[in-house]
Amino acid sequence: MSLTNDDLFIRISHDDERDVSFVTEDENRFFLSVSETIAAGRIHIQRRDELNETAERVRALQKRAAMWWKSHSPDIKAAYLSYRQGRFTFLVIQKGVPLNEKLEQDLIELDIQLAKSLEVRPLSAEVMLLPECDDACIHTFVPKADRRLIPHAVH
Amino acid sequence: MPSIEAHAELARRNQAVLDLLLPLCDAHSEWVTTVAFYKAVHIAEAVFKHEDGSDSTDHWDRNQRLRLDHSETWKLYSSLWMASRVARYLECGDPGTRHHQSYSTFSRHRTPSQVRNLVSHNLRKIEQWAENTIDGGILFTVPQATS
Repeated sequence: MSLTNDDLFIRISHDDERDVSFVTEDENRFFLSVSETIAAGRIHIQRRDELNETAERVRALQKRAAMWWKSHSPDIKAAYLSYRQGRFTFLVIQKGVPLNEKLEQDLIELDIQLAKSLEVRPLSAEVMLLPECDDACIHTFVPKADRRLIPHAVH
Repeated sequence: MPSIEAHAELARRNQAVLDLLLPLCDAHSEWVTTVAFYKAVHIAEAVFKHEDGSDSTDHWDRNQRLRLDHSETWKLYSSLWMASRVARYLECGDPGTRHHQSYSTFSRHRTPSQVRNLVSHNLRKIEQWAENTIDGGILFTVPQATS
């Protein structure tokens, strides 16, 4: 049996003068006028689209960070991507304490690429390089709860 | 809202402190780094003021403008920014503790020689960029008196 449009959709037309009755999964019941229902739907669609777009940008940022880590992994002890106060930080812990100047310069190049990337913008992202140190030291820069390891980025 | 000259004056005052600290760089490289960074902050702010009269609201705002509009300067400034954060905030821990074993002093990470290079190369280049951009004889360092 083929489905008609009526089987697939609940049609709410702007010229319908009746209220819309909602029943949620926890049996909560409420009513909205048709215009309120349409307004709520529009807000939801806008929010959904924004969330999808942000998720795509976060994936692009994760991919860039992971690729950079991969190409520099022999020099890296660990790398984290964290989100705090509206900004992402790509925190790289180098191997050893003496500054790895080449790694720093390459990380700064990545920083500029991320800032200019149309895939990542307008997400706010910055980079930070730390010498090899223990977990408590890293905490000063990014609290443990905010840290997400770049997949496989621990040596 | 400080003027260009006010930022230049603060930069010159930072330079005066740097001149005192640089001979002590082996012992106090954290402070050389920190003062050098804050001098760079005032130089960047002077340029922004010259460009469009604006002031940065915070480090992020300033850094992002440097990243996007002055990438070559950002490469120089960014090293100072990261070095000064490590100098100021990375915990060394007490001697004998695990913290201390992994990271004992800033100078083990960035040697005094590398810190002096931050001043003589990075900061100097940033200063030249600002002097060329602003023009009009603005100075961020008091010229050495000739005898």
